[in-house]
Amino acid sequence: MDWKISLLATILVPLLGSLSLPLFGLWSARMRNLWAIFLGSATCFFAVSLLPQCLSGDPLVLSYSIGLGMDAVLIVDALSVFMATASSFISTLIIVYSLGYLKNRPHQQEYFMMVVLFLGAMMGLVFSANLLLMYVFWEITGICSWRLIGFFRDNEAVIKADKAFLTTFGGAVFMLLGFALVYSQTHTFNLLEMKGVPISGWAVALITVGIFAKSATLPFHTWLPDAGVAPTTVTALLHAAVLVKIGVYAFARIFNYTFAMPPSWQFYVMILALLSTVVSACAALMENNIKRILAYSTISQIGYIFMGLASFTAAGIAGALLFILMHGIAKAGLFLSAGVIEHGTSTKDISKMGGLFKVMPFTAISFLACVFSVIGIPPFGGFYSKGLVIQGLARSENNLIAVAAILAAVLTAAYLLRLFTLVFLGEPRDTFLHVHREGTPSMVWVVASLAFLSLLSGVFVHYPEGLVHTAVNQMLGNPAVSHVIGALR
Amino acid sequence: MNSIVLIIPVFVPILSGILIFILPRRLGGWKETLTLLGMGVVLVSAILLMRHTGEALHWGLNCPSLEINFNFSAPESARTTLLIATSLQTLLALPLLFLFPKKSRPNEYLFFFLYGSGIVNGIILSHKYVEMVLFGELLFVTIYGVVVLMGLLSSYSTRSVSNPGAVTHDGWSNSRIFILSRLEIIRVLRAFARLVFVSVDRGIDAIYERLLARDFGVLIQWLRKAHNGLYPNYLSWAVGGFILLICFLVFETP
Repeated sequence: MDWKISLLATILVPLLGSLSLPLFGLWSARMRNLWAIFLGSATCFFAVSLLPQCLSGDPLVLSYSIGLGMDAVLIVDALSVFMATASSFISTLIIVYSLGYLKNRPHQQEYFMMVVLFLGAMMGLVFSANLLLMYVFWEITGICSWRLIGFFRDNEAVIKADKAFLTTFGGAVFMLLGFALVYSQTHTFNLLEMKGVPISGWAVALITVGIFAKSATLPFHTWLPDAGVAPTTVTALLHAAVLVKIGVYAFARIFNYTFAMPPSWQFYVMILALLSTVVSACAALMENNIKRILAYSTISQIGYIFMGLASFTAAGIAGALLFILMHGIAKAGLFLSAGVIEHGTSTKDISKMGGLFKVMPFTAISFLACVFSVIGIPPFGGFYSKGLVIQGLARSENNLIAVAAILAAVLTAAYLLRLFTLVFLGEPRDTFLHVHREGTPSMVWVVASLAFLSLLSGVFVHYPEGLVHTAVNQMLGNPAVSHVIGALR
Repeated sequence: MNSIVLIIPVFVPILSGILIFILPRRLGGWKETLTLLGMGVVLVSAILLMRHTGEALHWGLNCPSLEINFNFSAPESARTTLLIATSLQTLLALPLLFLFPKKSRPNEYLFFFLYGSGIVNGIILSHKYVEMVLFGELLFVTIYGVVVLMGLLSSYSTRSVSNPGAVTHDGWSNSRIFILSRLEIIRVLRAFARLVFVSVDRGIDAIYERLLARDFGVLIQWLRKAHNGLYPNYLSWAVGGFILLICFLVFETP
């Protein structure tokens, strides 16, 4: 298949398809569900079909003039295809899981439309090589997340959705100001024409605020735990596949791939990311709400990704990119397991749970496998990504940060094992809690698949690693980055 | 000196621990002998390493198919730390050998002790951060195992006398958490976590909530009115944004 068709289909199939979903829903709910799965699978298929092109060598660029001297520039390289494949695959699994989870819930038309539109905007964003185009897709994801977080329509959900929207939207405004500064310096929005250009500290600061707000990094992180009021499938989507990964991707695309970031800013980003990791790990240790614990865990792990990227070493960048995949798979598994637990117990309070291993053995084992991956225990996928990030930090001669990252890894183990113990081991602490069954087959199947994938991604790590290596090599092509990396190349 | 001596402090205790774990409990004396023998060998290897004066020792295990590359090395600081650690482990083993046989699961206790000692020595001799992380996490999982075991045993002891089948309020999971929170290191960790959580995380959130409730309250009300579901409303937003974009490009483009 022609790569241009695959590229356009990866973006347009979910974007246009999402608009047709409510029409299918008017016809039949079953048809709408099947259509939603088809759109997710087709997006994943088209993204995967771009793999041979991106592995073969130089990046491919598709450029359309849209008038006023502006071009819609799309890029196919290892970084964009890696993100697109990981996001679309996890999103498709989440759509399948939603069928069981949202059965008999109202507003399903809007839900499926927003989820697929979300996926389409993510695809558009990852393939964009134009700052304005990126911004447009960025805001579409913000609007989708706003509607999805407020899905249940109760007062609390609406307030939390507003909070998430205002934080990410506020960040995006700063980011837009940063883009304007970049434009005033380079007179272009085309990222390909800016490769290796050094940008001012102010521009870095403004763009970083937008990225951190989207990725829920300290001090813009509190909207993410609050977004737990949304359906579990939405939170899984936000945490594992789409929303928070957008910020990470934008950082990699803008700062690792394109511009030359001032060295002092690399250090500031690393410090902020480390603080985010430690503070959110501490918060996860104190919380009793299962979804809030997992949300804080996401913030903590996103910190590792930023540390890896900001280390500007081959190992650090490779680790951060692998982290996106490994964390995405494991965190989706954890959230969807949490959905099964919440479905069965009707509570999110882990202090009331206990002994669920006996009634939910498949969920428990899947949950434990995903916990091991997030902690970073070999041979699960998370081990390689976390190890590479820490190695990258050490190689960039930030030894203290590397040691702090190791200590934060111990905190990760502490809060996740505490979570597992309280939920699955022992006896229920609330006498009114009666759980008799696992989740629906589609829910358990998806959770078990993600757990199995967490293991497989570690055992066969050389497959994703090949793509990651290509992405890192293409990033090293950025003269600014290769200057930073120096002898490590 | 052969560099193989580097793996002795790591693998001998782990292997001794595994042997003790699988040995039948009725074999009296074997556990104690194996423990003493294992710790003795480890201590001797640590002393030998300390006395080594030649080239720095280095031991590696490469497994390219799994992309695993383990390396142990013993610079001077590591050798000193190892000697202190193994001396303490041996000293600790002596009283424990007298205490554990009185416990109901001596094999498990000795296994955890020896396994933990091997992992600690692994952390000391690690050549790379990645190995340090691996051993650190294995140590954490071992500690978790010990805590769960202690919790299990404690729960058995708290079962009601009148109804032995029933687990009392201090049952399995509760006693595990109870014991977990009684460990000094966990107490310190929890206190640190509480301090950070309350002062930083909740502090930041309070600012957001205040902004949301007071300063952005008007904006939110306005946004809710603006998001009224009417098509002309959204069209005017889009057209307005488009005009602004054109103005920007017209005035900015050189």
